Amino acid sequence: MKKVSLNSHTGLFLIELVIIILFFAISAAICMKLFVFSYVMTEQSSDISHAALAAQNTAECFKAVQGDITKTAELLGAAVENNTLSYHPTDDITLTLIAEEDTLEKNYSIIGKIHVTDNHNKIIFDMEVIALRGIGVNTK
Amino acid sequence: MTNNLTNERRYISVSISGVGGSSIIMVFAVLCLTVFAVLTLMTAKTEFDTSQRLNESIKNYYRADHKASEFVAALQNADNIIEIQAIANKNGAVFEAMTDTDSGIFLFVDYSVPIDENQDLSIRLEITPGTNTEICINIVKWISVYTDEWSSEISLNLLKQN
Repeated sequence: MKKVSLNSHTGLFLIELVIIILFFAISAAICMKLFVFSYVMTEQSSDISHAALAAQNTAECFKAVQGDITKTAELLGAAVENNTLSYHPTDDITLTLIAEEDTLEKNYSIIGKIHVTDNHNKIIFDMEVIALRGIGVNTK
Repeated sequence: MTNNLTNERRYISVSISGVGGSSIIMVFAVLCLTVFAVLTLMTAKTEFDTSQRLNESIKNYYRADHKASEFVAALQNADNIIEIQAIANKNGAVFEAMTDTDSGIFLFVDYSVPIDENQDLSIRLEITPGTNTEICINIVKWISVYTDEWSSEISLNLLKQN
């Protein structure tokens, strides 16, 4: 009587254990997928925030020096080549500023096109800014 | 009789500690994993939404800034005050002339561009005739202003009054 009871319970326990391990593996796989998805989403949001702030910083520097791309590069510690400024605000993103003269007659403004790309060259932020030249700022 | 009772006790104790116990532990573990995974996902989603809102607000501001800069550049390209007035009227800006006994006539142009439904970019320009028939433009104001109605009487019903 005793032997039969213990053997049947050992068998039941083993079956239960196998089912539990299978169920746990499936659940853990789903949860791991959620963790990875959350991690990727956090990385993306971090990149977007950094990109937006870097673009804003660059735009204000560009406007402050009245569209002079060399001075903008000096302020930001960036490299300039063919009217194009580029630098890495963080390890994961690259910011590019392309300066274009306006098409108006007297040429008082310079348009700056800002693109921020991630490591896979995907644009995560872009905007345009106009730097005005020959204008005074009255602080009265 | 005593021997049978002992066997029964052993049988019951084996049943409780063996079969079912691991299931309970597993359910608890899976529940914990699921709760933490969902919490992490919710936090990540909130962060993503916040960064998207920041992204949009910066883009909206610079869209308005771009439009205002285009307006100022158009004024700079004008040859005379009449042309400036025409550009200002065309863009819906307010043109204001003020006279000063020492410095002569001052012209002010007020222009605002909507940033979003609650904010406007408000600019004020001072236009003075410069040397050699050039027109000098000074930026007096370039700020974003909150345009939505502000309600000062917001109260919380913390205590019920009889």
